[in-house]
Amino acid sequence: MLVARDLRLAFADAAGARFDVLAIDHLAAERGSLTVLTGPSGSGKSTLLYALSGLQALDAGEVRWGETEITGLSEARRDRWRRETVGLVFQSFHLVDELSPIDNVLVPVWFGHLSARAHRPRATELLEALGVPTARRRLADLSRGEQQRVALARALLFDPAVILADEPTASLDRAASAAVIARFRAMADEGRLVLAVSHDPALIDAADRVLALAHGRLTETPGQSRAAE
Amino acid sequence: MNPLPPALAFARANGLTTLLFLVLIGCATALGVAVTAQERALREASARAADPFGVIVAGPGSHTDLLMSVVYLQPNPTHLLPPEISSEILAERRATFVAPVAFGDSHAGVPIVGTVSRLLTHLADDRPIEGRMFERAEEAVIGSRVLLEIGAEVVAQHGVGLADEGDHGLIRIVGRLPETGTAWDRAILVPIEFSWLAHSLTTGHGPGVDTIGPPWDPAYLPGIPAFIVGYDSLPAAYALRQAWRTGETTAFFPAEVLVTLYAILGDVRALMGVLTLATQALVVAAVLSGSVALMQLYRTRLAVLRALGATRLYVLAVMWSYVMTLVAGGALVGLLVGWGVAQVVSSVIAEEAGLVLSPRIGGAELALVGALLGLGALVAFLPAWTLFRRPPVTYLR
Repeated sequence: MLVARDLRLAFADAAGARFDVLAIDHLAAERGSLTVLTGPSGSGKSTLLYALSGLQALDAGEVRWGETEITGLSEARRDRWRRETVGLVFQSFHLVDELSPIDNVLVPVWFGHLSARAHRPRATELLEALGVPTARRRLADLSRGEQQRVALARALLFDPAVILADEPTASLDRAASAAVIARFRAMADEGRLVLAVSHDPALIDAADRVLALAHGRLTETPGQSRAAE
Repeated sequence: MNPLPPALAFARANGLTTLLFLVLIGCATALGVAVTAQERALREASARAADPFGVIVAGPGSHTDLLMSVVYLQPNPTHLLPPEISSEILAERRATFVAPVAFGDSHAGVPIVGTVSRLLTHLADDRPIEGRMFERAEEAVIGSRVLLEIGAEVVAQHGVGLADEGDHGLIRIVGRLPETGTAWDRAILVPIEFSWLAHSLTTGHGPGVDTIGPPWDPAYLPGIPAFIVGYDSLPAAYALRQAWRTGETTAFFPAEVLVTLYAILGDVRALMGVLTLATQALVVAAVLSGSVALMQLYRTRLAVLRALGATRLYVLAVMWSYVMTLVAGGALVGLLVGWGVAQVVSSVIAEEAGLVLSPRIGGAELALVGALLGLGALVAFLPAWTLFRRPPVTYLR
């Protein structure tokens, strides 16, 4: 379970005046749920996602995943926790163009003290399950939808308990978007905690909860999600 | 933790830039390796080539000029020793042999040297001569690198070079020396009587005597430019050198002249070594600045690695490995190219001067590459450090 309390983060604007980026008193999410975070551009959605993953340092506050308070961990331990617990999916995929799809999935093995050979069957299995043709050797040969699924497979390589996704369907066509949403839904139903930043109505419809962020403050928006039906 | 896959992926991502860096570092390294390997090979070859020439006795003059004339067969004007002094040198009892030498003629650019058979058997180090030794004034033995056949007849020309300065008649090739590793491998060796006759001088023998070689009649000896004097012990060698350092003659070991030349060469080498290192440092600096620029391209990728769970240290290792891959790859290429260049230059020198050069990669070259790698290892941290310090979210937004 995710519990975040009293998250505070402020940046300075060009004139030097400070403004709140995050001012969240309480946020909780259960395993086995799909939560969507919405809000206008610049409202702090991505920053919140990075704060929850331990990438964004906070001015104050506590983020706890189960028994682990990640805001209290050293940077190296936080990196390890993220590697073992979190699957991150980026809006622009952030794949390595020079690598094959399967080698892209295996990227986390590079820094995980692990054997690429031992994880290759798992990577192949993930790509096949997500409908990505593993025979293709170049990333450029894949459609954008397929590339997004490669990024998803990379996030799932170590079977993480948590999936954090930033605008995962924003650059996909309808069919590819539907496939990714179905996959997120399935992952939540399998017991993972899925938290996605999105404005995609289809993803919102599929979510258990929808949270709205404005000026760094969080509100729950009932009635938009599957849970409200 | 293996930083090489992303480092190599980055190198592949910018193949042209990577290639450019490799060529740049490779050229700088090759220059240094070629210069040091070539200089050492030249030094060793010149020492080897001078080794069989005992003590050189000649008229007063520059030892270096005499060395270049007698050992390396480079055309230089020399004083002639008068017959009475030549007779005394020829009668030297402490010597194992005394060989007069005469220069100044050539065939198609190949120098013709007049001397005695005893010197040739000494140079051959008792190995058999292909064909036979010359027995008449118009016969010749050729060095191992002379492109003529035994049995061929060639015209001796006055002077060394292409200018036709007059013919001295025909010489018939009757034998070929085994390789001596000296400049004499590229010479046509004739009885000294041929050289004297060719220049309309007396032949050292009285009228009606057409034999070659010693003993000569002092009354018929012409002036002689130089003698190569053999010895069988160090005391004898030093005694000979001392005895013929007079007001009218000079005597020296080729090695002592070479030592002086090496001292000068050594200074030049030290200077070139500094210049080479400076060149390499500049190249590494160029690569460094290029790498810093490339880092800006890679910063999002590296931030993604951090986001996926890579530690700061891993990202530092990736960038360090990337720059070091370029430096080490360039150094390896440079080592091979430098060795290749030294081989080519050596073969040209061997062709031109007859010296047998064997350039090889030795301690000096490895130290040069080691210095480059050490420098690279240090400066490779700089671009890595610039990214190491920034939080990854800066580049993920």
